Amino acid sequence: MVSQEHGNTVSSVLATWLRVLISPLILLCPRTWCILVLGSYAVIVEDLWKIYGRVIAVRGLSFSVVEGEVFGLIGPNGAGKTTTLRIIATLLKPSRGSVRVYGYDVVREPDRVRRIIGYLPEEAGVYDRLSGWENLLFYARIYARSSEEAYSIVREGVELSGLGDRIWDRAETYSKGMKRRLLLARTLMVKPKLAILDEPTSGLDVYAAVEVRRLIKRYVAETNSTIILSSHNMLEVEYLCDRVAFIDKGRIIAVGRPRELVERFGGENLEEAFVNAVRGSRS
Amino acid sequence: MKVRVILWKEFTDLSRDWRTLISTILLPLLVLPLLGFMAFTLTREQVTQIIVVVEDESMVRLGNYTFTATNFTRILSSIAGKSNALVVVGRDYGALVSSNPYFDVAVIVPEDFIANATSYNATALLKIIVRVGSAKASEALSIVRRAVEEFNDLLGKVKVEYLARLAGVRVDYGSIRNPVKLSTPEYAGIGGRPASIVDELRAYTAKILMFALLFIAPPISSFTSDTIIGEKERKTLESLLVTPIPYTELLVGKIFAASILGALAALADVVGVLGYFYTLTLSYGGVLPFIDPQLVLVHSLVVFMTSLLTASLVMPLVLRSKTIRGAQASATAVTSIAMIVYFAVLFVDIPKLPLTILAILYLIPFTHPALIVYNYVNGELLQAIVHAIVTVTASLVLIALSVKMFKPEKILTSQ
Repeated sequence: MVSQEHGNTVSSVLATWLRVLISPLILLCPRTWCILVLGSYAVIVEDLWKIYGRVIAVRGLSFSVVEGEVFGLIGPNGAGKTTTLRIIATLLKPSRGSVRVYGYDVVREPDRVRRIIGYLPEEAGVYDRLSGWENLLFYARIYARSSEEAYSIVREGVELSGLGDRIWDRAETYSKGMKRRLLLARTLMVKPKLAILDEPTSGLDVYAAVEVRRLIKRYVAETNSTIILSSHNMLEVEYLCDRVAFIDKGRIIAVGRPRELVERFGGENLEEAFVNAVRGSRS
Repeated sequence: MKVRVILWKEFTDLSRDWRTLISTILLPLLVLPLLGFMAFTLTREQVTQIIVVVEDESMVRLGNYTFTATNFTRILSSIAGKSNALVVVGRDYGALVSSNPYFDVAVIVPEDFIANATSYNATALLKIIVRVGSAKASEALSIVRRAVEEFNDLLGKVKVEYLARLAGVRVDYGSIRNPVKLSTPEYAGIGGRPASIVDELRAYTAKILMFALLFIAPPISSFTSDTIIGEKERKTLESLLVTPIPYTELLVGKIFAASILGALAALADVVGVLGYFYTLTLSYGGVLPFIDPQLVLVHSLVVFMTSLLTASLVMPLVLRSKTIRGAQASATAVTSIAMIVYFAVLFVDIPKLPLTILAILYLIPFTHPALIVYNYVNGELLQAIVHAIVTVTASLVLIALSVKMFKPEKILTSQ
């Protein structure tokens, strides 16, 4: 008994020394340096450019998103919001500049980035011939390491979607709002460290849009996740976002808290502040 | 491995897509045998019509026999009766044709027919008229030829026996008419390897099975085109590409799904084609396809390998296309080569071709699956294995090429 205890003590001391010896090696890891230098930023976008032939979609965009923050990108059609989000989501490669998600470079380490993000495209579709539940299961199985984990993720997704018994019906029978809720649940059920939501309420009627916003709000409150979303809807952005960036013609005009931006650019609300900011930047 | 997840989704999705299932699996299973049945039924309902215009009313006596044109028309009617054909005899061509406008063949028995036919130094001539566009003309001609042969046989026998009697010689008409005969064929394999009729039947069936590979390309082109570009059009691709699933596994999953579906469709085609040949053989006679379990097993493997090869070949084209229609068009163009190869195997012994042509054919990946079956049924197992290895290697190389060509940005941003 004594010798066993002695053995345990020796192995514990050895383990401690081993940790001490190995620890400095961690400094060789680029991610460690990013965390040390950049603090708790979830996303850092630096001098981002995206050029398609003659069209410049994004012109030197720079912004950062703090961990746990809901960050909004506001801008008219063609401002470069979707392109920016697609670059962050590793779908497009930047022409110039860099994007880091939790310290991982989206160009050099796309696989690592994909493991920690969830992305809801603006015009996303569901597999119509699969039920809502099967749609969730398909995505859950991609992320999960076991069947139990997959079913646990699906349970979360079902809860988030709020579709009740309709979850067993084929997705082709769903309304647009129900499909969007399913897609949002599918994006958030895997509890991504960063959720990227492109126009989450686009094309929905008032009731469906309110449901989706509530869902996002509840999710943020429960998980303290980081979210980047784009929207045309200023009310939505004011309701959901901690900070927003005004984008016009591929450039950021201003970044700040919604109230601050209203005060800085004038106007009754964020919508008017945005118009004033764009007018100011163009003149 | 997430390939299983992709396969699960693809099959769950497809199991509910009744339109695709019916058109690719159920339809060939039913349509091809039905085609054979219809061809037989419609052909049977369509009576072959032969009109005979008798211009010769003469009568010639030869030995104990008396010959008139009626001897020929009786033989013709007798043979026609056994072949579901109708013989109409008359004297006036115009009247016969106007009362039987859809005749298939007209036979004119000229005035000097019997005199020439019974002479020892002349030949009688029957004039034949074929109606343009007649579907049964060849069948009618065949009946007429058989009747002429039988009439010749009768005349020849009477002439020979009459001459033999005059010469006082004992003769056997059979040995004069057919002094040389062929034995019933025996069989040998490549290089004289011992073989039997069963091997011949197996080789014949293998050709039919290889011909069935002809139908493999269109459904696989369709499935493969639908995988990536279809997901893009249904707006499900973007979400999928952002998941942690490696692109290699995604593409392999899609190619395997298309291959398995294609193989199922191809096996349905095989059953359909065999049903078609069975129906035709049972209707018209001929050799029935011979099925043995080993051949079925080998062919099933070849079907899967061909499916995998087709899907792997189509995928790089799909990845370069902007729309499903574009993907299908380019895929169909390439897989037409498969059709040429599999159609050719019905008529050609590929290994017997000159080396230059063979070299070109070997460059076409689709030649190798056909040669797996060919070599297997001919007992050349080693060669069959070599062609199987070439087929699988070609597929793997093409899959690697697809992975290399897979550029999500290009797919997502193409209009």
